[in-house]
Amino acid sequence: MDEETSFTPNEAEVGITASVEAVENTLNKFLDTANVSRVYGEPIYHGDTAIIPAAEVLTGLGFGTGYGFGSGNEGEGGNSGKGGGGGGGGGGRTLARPVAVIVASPEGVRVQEVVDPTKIALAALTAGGFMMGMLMRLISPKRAMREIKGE
Amino acid sequence: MLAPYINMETRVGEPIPVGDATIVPMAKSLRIQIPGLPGGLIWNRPVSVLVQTSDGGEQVLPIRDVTRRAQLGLIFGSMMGLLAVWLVKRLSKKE
Repeated sequence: MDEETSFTPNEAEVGITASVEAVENTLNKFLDTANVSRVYGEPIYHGDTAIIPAAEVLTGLGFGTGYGFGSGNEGEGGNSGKGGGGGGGGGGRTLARPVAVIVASPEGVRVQEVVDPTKIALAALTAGGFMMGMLMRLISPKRAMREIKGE
Repeated sequence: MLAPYINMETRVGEPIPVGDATIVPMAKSLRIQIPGLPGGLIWNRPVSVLVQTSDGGEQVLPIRDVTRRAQLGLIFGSMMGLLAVWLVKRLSKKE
């Protein structure tokens, strides 16, 4: 019996456990990202003035693992006919958005908010569209006729 | 009950010396982990900075997310507007 045919489910489980541990380690590293250093950037100096950028950071992560074993008829060359396998996958995404900059100058320290007009315009369009749609429904002639008829 | 899965905390960062002042950044982080699912969500956002001057003065400068406030204001305003129209229509129908 060669090395390939000496496969046992226990060995596979050991491999899978190692994979799961690797996933857990990655997950723990991910959880450590709840850190102030992720939000505030390194100070940028320009003469007497220092600027510290501040951002909102959203991170999402997900993992999944699976494995299975099977057995069948003994194969050619003395193969045991047993096998197993496992797999895993994951994905994640980080979104960052500037919120403000902290300006420190000899005159003092102040916070300058960052306004994103594109996001505000998109929200206005969405809210306006939603309102228009609902208003059209509320004041539609068909609806008024149904109410008059008492349906 | 949800505390182990939803966790919010305020964290204080390393002080940053700038000229005569020291800036201490503060951030809030929200961690959400669904039990049984390997993964999660972390939302970090700046809250305020504490400014310590060389003469011993301290000042807390809040960091306002103007964009988020405007977005929420627009959504809330449109909902309230719709609710008002619906109420007016309903009252006029009863009369």
